Amino acid sequence: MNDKRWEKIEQLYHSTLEKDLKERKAFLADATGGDEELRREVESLLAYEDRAAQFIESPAVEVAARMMAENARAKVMSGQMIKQYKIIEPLGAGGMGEVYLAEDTRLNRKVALKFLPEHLVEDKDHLRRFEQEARAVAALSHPNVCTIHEVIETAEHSHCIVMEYVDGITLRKQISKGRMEVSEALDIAVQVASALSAAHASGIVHRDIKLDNIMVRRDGYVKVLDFGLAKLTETRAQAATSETETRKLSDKTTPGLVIGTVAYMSPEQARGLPVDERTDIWSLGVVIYEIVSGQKPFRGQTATDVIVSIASQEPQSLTSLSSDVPPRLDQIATRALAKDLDSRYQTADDLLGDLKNLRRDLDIQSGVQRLKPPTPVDRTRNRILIAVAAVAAIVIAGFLYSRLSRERSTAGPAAEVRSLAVLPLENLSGDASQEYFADGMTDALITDFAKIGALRVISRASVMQYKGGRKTVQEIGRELNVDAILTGSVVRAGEKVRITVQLFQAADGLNLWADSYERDLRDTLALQRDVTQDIVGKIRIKLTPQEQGRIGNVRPVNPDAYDDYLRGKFHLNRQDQQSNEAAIAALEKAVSNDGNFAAAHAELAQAYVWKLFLFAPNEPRLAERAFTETNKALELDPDSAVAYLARGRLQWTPANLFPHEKAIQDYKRALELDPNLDEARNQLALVYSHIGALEESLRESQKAINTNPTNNLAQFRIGETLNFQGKYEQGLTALEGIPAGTNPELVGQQIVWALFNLGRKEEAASKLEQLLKDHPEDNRGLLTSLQAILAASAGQQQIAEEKINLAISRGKGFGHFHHTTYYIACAYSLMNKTDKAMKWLEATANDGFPCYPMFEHDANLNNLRADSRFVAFLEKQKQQWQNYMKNL
Amino acid sequence: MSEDSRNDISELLVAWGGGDEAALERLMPLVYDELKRLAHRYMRGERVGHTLQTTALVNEAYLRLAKWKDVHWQNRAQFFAVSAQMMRRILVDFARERQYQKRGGGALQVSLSEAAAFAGGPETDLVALDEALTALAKFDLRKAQMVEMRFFGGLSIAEVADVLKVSEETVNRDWRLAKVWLLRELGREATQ
Repeated sequence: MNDKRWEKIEQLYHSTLEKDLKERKAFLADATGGDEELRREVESLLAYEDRAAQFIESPAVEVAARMMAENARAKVMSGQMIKQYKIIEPLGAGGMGEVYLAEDTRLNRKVALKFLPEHLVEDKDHLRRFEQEARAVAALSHPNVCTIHEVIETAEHSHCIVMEYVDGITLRKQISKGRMEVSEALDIAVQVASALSAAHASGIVHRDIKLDNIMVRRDGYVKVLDFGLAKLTETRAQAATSETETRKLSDKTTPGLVIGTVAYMSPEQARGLPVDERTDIWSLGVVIYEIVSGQKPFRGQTATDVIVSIASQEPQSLTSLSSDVPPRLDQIATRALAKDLDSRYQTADDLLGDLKNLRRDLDIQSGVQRLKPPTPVDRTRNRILIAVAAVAAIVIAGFLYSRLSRERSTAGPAAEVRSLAVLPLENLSGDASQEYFADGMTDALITDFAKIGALRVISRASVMQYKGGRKTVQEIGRELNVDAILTGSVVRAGEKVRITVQLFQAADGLNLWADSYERDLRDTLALQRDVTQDIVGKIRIKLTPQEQGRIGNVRPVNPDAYDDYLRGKFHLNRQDQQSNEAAIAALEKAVSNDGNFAAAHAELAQAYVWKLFLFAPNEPRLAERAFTETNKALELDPDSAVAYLARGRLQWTPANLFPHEKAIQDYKRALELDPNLDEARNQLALVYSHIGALEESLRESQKAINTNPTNNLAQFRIGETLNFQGKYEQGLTALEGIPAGTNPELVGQQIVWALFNLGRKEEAASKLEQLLKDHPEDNRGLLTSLQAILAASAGQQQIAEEKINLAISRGKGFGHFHHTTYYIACAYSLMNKTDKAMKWLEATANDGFPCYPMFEHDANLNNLRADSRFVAFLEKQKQQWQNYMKNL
Repeated sequence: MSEDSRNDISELLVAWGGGDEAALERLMPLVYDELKRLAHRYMRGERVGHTLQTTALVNEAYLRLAKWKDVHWQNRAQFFAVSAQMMRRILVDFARERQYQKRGGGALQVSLSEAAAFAGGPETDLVALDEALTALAKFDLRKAQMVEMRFFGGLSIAEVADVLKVSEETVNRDWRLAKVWLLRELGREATQ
């Protein structure tokens, strides 16, 4: 800035400040003597006077310390419960506070929690006005307005807004790749204008419309965020009038308030003049201009330059920036960006009307049939139709929809797709409690596709992370390394279900195909089959006759049974006792409603198995019931992967003397039918590691992790198996990589074992001590037997003997006692007590743990190696091992 | 803060003032310790505000320094200027790092109004302010230095007047204008 100019501004600023509030305007106009730019410059600085009072008055070190404190507070929160909200993960932050994704455990839906910084809510009047406005916004219930559910006070006196979780990206992010197609931009503008129109009708002015406050969901719906938040940042001066403002738009906001990002400010806003709904129209004008042209209408190096530009310059016409912009769109933007308030659109409704007309005319012109995204009106209509279950209308609409889709799809290129990710289908029922249904349909599609050998399909566990929807198709494609991505939504109303799916090419995000299916609930399985078959046809995959049979073989299901089945599966995915009970209840109901429902029998068997192994090992007849369900499932459907998994687990028990080969067979069959069933891989790896097929075990565990990166059990198995191989260093690394809190007793004892064998005995001892402090019951005797080994290796024979006896008495009844007996054998070997060592070693091998490669190399057994009994034992083990390996 | 670390600060400041960039690296943990101490008090819900100003880090350091005969500060003003610069560098780096960490985890899911940046208070964006201050220095160095000393260095109006050899009235006027200019400038981030 020019020195002289700045001096002048400075002088004028101070002399204007000395004047009375009412006289300032006239004084400034007079003093600037017709230099408009100078006047605006001083005026815009004055507009900040009010807000500057507290600005940077406390030292920076304090600001930084407060930041650090908030940071620390935020870290504490993940996983916490705040009222009925369970914090899942941070979503981001900004001037208004931190935002977290959370689960509303009462209503079983996802929400976003926005924690307001303390200084914003210190003023109770502000807070009350904000809450009032939030209620008004909530009452709007407009599909393009992000709903505020409630405002709650958390324990630390901070406040938090609970709002609708929007699964998508901001418009800013969306256009970071470049400007939008006109038709796409129009769709967004229509939806924002529609939101504004509804808000204005209720007397709510947003005042901060900009790219960052507009989100686009994956399905194309637009959501306008942060309605009402401006109420929190008002200065005291505005407070007086804002009460009435919410009810009556004609009561203008008091001058002095400057809110929002400069680039989107209307001229009146930038100058701190009163604003009304027309300020939102201007800001939307800026948004339209930006998304269509890729640049802002008013720019500048500094905020001041931008303000000057807003106040005095006409933006370049859109048509001159891009040849495909229709002149009418340019006219609309120009009218929204009229500096003179009276020349601007007077209502958002007028703007909306022009946008819609233009869109319709363009559609007709190009002959393009619009599929997505639906406008709010369309959506409302759909909802009403569904709500009244106007079956005929839906069928016609669905028919038209799918016919149009097919027309469109024929134009798409045939794609080479050998790998596919099915993203979680979105529940559009408008009812969060229907989440299980959408999830279940997602599962069903994944399972169907997984049956196709020539297609690699990403597992449920791996796609679930994208439920947040913050990534583009290309990004997801890269991360999962797939050729194509399937997205979609599910609407279920009464006895009708509709699925809309879109197939995208991952490399470039190209839409390969889209279709919509609608059926009676009882034909849901047929619906799934049709989706699968259509996509298979589209991506030109050849099915084997067997695969064709597996996919094509569907029968009608009882809708109630199907519903309960999906509910049961939904609960089964969460492994806590309460969910397990809920799953069992739902699945029992499913099979009682439809006794021939194979998948429901299989899942019920699986639910019983989990209960048996995790929650109720002693419940009588549970194993029997599980067996009955398994057999029933396999009778009805010999291709039920889940049933084979359940059967394998039921067989491989101490009572059955661990029939390794039978279990392997079942798990292999399950994996053949569903390569994504990572639980079957865990089980297979488990059996392999016991019989000494250690490389094979590692391979299966690794595959399980590839399928499901959150599979901690597989990670544990890798660490354990590396230990069995004597690779303690690597084993330790793998075990230490398991997230803390994952079965600490199981993981911990293997860490102790690795440390001990690496000669790090003191660390082993202290870790073991800690484990025993946390798990004093040690009901397998495993930890106690490790104590015996430590004592034996330290030459404390008496202690070692005591610990061995204690370990035996503690662990005797436990099924998988063979790990403990192995440690006991090692302890005796270290004490040079060959007889006892041999006895326990044989017990280990005979009771389900014939791990020959481990016996062969474990240095803890070195004292036995010269003994003829050991030589004979090892030889016998070797032969058996070779047999196992031959048959793998 | 321990006796030793105060002495360290003085010594390191001398070194940094003399052009030793590495001294800043060593100053950093000392400042961070002070930050942590303050942060803890916030966490416990204490109001730190005014007590801090009287025990401001640099003031403490200065008092220690004043007793040192063999320190080669040309004058008090130079010391204040250097220590304020030091605080600016360290605190802005801290804020930048924190922003980076926050945004590194993924794009902002829900965008928030930047309006709070206008409200001052604890949410002042140090990184943006640093940039705005650099812009201000280009055409009005005195005001920029004043903000640096007052905001980053924690000096009072009187102290700033003393250091810059101007009247308190001038500092008041400059301070007032600098603040509104900076506030308006903070909207700049989004204009590009």
